[in-house]
Amino acid sequence: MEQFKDVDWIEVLERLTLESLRLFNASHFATEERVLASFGDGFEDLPQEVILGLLDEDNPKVTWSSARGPATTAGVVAYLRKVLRNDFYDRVRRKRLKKQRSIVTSTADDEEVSYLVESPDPTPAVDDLLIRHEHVAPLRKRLDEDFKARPDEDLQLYLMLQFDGHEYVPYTPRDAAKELGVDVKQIYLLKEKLERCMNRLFKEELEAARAEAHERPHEQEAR
Amino acid sequence: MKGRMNKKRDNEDLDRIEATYDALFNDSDEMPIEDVRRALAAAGIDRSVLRERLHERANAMARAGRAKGQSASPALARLLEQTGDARTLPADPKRALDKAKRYLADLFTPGTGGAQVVGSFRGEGELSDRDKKTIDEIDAELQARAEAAEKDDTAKT
Repeated sequence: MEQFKDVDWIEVLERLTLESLRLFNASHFATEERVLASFGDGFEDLPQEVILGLLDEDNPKVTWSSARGPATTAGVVAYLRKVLRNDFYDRVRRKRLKKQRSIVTSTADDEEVSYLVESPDPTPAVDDLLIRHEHVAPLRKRLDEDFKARPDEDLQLYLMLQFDGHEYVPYTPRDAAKELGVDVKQIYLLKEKLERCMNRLFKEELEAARAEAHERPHEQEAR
Repeated sequence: MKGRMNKKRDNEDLDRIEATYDALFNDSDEMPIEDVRRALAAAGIDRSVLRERLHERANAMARAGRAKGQSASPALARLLEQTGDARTLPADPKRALDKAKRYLADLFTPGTGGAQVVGSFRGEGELSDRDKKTIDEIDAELQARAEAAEKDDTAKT
């Protein structure tokens, strides 16, 4: 019997693409600019890879176990969303490993080799903290600029609460509602509004990037 | 202040991304598919391009299998069928109906571009002035409704 006969693959693709876009935006916001760019994969590639991974009978890593019950669209989305997140995090981890400093500190050939020794639990250097904030700045800065054109006091307060501390510890919806003195339902509505705002900014960025690529096709060809 | 939180997260990159995700977005499990499509359109993502790319990759996978003497699994065949040209209907009546429904639903999905009224006349002889006026009025009403719905969507986003 066909295992996935009731699955709407287009819905699976669309839901996973939104998930991937969200992860892309969250990582863009939380850590570095264009985290995925250096993998050679875009946010649209990951969902397609996990879907085809599930349908690849030679791929033992992504399989639908009968213990999960009959495969439905919702069930497949839930399962592949986990796979997608793991794939995404694996790529972030791999990138982070690539960026680790070499423990060999000498550079010249004739120099005696010396090794970098770090304390087991180093306190983050000021530079490191500043770099992190610099990475966070662009998307946050664009949101702040957007608020100048379209002020939204509630949304601005929510963002300040979540992302303007010295420590990077966002609140849960319940804690955020408590801090802002609003109903928790209001926090969910603010997050919906924030996602719409981020999608609009993403579209603007995408259109600008496309226009730039269109203006300079010879550079694209050279790559 | 934040130190009083029940669940404190550390500053590792992955935890930061996960925490940021939770702070930025609501759970998408219960999100209606129309909202998902609206969000993708708002972010400038062309759903037909997504579908075509998946179709191309799935086709390449099927070709690679055939080269090794393996035929495409029923699930891969189904995916190819669903993601293929929207106007080509499968032989199976139920699947053809499903695909036709999806095609029609896509035509009315918000954020897929400006609405345009396209009419056709079926009857005997030429259109009279009265017929033309009636059709123009219907077109104007449909166009106004479509524009109002689009404006409403833009306001929401």
